[in-house]
Amino acid sequence: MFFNFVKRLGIFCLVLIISTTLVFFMLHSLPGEKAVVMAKYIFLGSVELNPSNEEIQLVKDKFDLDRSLISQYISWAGAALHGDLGRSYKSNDPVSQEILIRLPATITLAFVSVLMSLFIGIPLGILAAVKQNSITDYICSSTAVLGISMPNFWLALLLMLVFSLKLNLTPTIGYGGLSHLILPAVTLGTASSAVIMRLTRSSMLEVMRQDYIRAARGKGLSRKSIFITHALRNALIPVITIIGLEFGHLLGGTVIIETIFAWPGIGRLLIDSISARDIPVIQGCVLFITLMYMLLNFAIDAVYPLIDPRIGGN
Amino acid sequence: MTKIRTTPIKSMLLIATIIACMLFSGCMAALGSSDQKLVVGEVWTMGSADPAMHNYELNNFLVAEGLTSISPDFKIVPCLADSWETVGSDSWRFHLNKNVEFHDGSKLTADDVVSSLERTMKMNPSVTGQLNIKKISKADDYTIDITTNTSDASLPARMAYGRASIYKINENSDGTISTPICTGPFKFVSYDKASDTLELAKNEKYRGGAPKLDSVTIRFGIGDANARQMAIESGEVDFTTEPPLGSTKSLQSNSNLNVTIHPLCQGYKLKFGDISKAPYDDVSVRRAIAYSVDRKSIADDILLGRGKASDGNALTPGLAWRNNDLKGYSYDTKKAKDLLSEAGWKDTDGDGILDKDGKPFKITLYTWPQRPALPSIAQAVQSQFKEIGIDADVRIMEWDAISDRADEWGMISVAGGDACMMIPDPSYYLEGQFLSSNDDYHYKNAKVDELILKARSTFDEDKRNDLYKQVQKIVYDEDCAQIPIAFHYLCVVTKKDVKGYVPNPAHHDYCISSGIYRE
Amino acid sequence: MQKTRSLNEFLKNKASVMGLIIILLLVMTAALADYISPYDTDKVVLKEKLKPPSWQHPMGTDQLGRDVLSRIIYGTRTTFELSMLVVLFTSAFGVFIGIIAGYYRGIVDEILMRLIDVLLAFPSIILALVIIGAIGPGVFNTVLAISLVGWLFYARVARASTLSIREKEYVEGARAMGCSDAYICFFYVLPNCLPPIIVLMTLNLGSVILSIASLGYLGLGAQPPIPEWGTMLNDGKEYLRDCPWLSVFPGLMIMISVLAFNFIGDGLRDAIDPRQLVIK
Repeated sequence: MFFNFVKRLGIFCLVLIISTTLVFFMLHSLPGEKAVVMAKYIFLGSVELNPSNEEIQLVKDKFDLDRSLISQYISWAGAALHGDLGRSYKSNDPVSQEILIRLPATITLAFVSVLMSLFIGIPLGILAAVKQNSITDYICSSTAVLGISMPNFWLALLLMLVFSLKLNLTPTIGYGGLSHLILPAVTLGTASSAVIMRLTRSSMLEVMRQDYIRAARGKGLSRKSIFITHALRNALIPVITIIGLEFGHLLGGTVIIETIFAWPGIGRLLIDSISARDIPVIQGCVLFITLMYMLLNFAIDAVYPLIDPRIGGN
Repeated sequence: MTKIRTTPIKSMLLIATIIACMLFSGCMAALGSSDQKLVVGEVWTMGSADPAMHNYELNNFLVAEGLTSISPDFKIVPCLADSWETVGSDSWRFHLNKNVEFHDGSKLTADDVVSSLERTMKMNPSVTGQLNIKKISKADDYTIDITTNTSDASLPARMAYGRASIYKINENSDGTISTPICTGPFKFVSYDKASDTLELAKNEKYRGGAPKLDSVTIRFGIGDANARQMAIESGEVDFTTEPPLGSTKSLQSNSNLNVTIHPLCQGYKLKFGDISKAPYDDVSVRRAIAYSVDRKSIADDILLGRGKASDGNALTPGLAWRNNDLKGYSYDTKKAKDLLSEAGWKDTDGDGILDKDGKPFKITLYTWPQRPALPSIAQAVQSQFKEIGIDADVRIMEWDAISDRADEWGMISVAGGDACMMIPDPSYYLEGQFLSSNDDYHYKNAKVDELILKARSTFDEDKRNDLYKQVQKIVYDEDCAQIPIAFHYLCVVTKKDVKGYVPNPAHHDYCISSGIYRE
Repeated sequence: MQKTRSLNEFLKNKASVMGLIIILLLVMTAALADYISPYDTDKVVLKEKLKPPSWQHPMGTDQLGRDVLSRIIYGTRTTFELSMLVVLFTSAFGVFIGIIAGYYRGIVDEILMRLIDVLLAFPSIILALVIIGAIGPGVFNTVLAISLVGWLFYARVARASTLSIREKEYVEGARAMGCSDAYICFFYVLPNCLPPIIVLMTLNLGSVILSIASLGYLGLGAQPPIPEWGTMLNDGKEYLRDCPWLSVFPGLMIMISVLAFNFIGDGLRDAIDPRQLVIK
């Protein structure tokens, strides 16, 4: 158990190193000289202007860009090890602060969307599986298909049109109270609910055909009991994987939806930073997203043995 | 046992219902109604609240002011300085308005001007470069002397630059300023970075009379044009700009809204990647391309009222230094074809594409997506090029990626934005575009260089404007160094009860006016 | 025998047959685009811009006066080619990796899964943005950017299934009989993890079409004037309220094709699974 933990911790660190390195060097493959692009964002505030040579040189001096990539990376990593993620090139604020102020927005949205998809997707999926080939099943399944067939930006615009403009129920944009959360969460939750519903249904049906279910049925156990003790547990394994993935993705931010609803989350921070080559912020975001992702994966892996005792253990 | 086991499903459904109810009860949150409040929906994100680093926001939303400012009819007018005069060939003296108070109640003195300009120039080389200031010093409490690096007639205009604002130095321990104290009609209250929202309040003691609005809230970062349109239609914002191109008609027919479309000092144009290399080193080819563009149809059918076809000059009509007598290049495909064939471009293999020395006239039009009309203009130009036998590809990519491609054979960028009044002086645009040392597409003309440099140090306004008019004659008519297509007009949408907005086309991109009030 | 039974099973499902018919129609449309499209797709006629649907232009014209119907027809070709390419490529690769990881577990699994974790840790759209930012937008680059992340999901799901399949009695049995690992993976594990993979492929065909559309909506997909539904939606969004036909028809086409693929996929899943027949 202890050995397992240490091993995981080791892998965890390895992943962090790999991903930050990857990003660091990937960013240098982007077109445009880094100092030029940075100078534009720092001093000009417009991508459509060309910075002067003095500005470019100032950026180079200030951020030590004339050094080799590797030494830049090492000094970043060294500081990061001491908990110092540096300051944003663009805003000069500490990176941790840049991330932290956007964190509540992202987490709230991700959490509510996933919660919504769980509470809609799993029960409906079970219902459809239990009543396979009934009207209920057809209605649930077709609605789910519709849900995943909608481009989400399209759905966002439709929802805005209907709920904000025609019915005047919700605000269209921005971040604030619970009411601002509804449209983006519904937009994101719709597709994931549909995905989770379909997966629950198919996985449920799959499990119901297994030998042990037939055996249980043969033993004369009640339908309900078979369902809960045997079927549901096993059926949820792939569902949990997908939920974890969905949550991880939402934590990384959803660029399009965040843009449409002017939602100030990590996704937009990341994309703005990529265009500005604001490397400390990008690195910080990647570090953060990777961390979240790894933690989620640990959680998923930890849940597996609880549901399916045959997996894991030793 | 089975009974206990069934509860998870039921409780799940129950919780789902509760959550759904909670969510939808939140919908009923009342949308704020306002007395003398204004909520602005902004396209861009707020750069920084520090007046040394901000991107015009503090200036455009009337928090910060400079020594001079620019009036809607493009005149440099007094602002914090009452008057100014030259002292010698490279020195200016500014006399401050003695009745200016900062938002914290303290008086504006020469010390504040010196310290804030010095701080800004120290922190922001872009401002330093633009201001061209060698030394700034206090003559007495209300007089400032500024020495320029070169003899510079444009300094008063440069003091109206949106980023040369005057502010109180109230630095945090780390040397940044997070609550700017300035002199404008509105006071900075707070800036919330998480929601990208700036709150402003009325400056009761503003020297020109307090503004009518009690407060202004600016919600930055509503980058999606449809979202802005819906926000104004649903009443969440009271003032916004640049709704989708195709929405003008429905917004105009909405009885709750006011739509104002007014000129800006920005435009659309074709810029050659490298004018010193084939095929564009041949002026006939550049002229042929200028003749092949149907400006009127682009302005009418793509900009849909949000612009006007250019007459051959990229500078906005109404500027005193604008040359209104340019010949321009009308839409004339026959002339274009003739010019090309004179230049040796002929369709020898009959595939509809011109060629010369075995090289087909295949080029790439680069443009970027942030300005919504650009991709359409690029495609229209592409099809107009086809008419004269030039085969063009369209590539829509980020600006930085485009500037990397300038060396490609036959590269043209379809440009938008390109403000000509960022600093309200002809030197800003003409030097930036055509001075051979600044230029990024290798345009070189010794005569143009000479005229431009001479104009910068010519203090007589008429003579100076005349020099700049000659420059325009050469670069647009004779050299055809870039091809203006159309002027860009700004679309401002406000609620019906928002009155008193006076457009100022000289500003970048727009500025609210202190006369705005709610009826 | 088994095949005909599966076929019958598939044909009994009305939704899948409908899906199949729709896809066949769309494939025919894509193949015969040159013959059935009424206008030239990239012919710009500015005078004819933004015309609502009429007899001359059943789906109206766009902001450059091009016929929307013709562009939709050619767009079918673009969208289908791209999405099929992505799905075939990513599923094959992902399942391969997933089975290896799930079957061998241990260090191989750890390395592969952590590698996947690294890649998954990036929001896919941002990865695509960086890739396209680096190599420029275009048709091929769209495929590349989506594929780079696309296979991860197959790998995750295939691994999860393999994890439980490898514990099954029949796998134990095969192992006891001395079958090689490759044989077991190919003949026991692969067929048994296919049902969730097929569900995923069908969902994925849809979501790939949606990803292509998203990249198009962000202006990073196929470059104009190439007709592609996502790019058309991107063009149309500037005219959403006053000229909804520019967004409605491409959006509808996306929905219909995704829907059809899903119906087919569902039917296929029910049909090819032999054990379901046993139960009935």
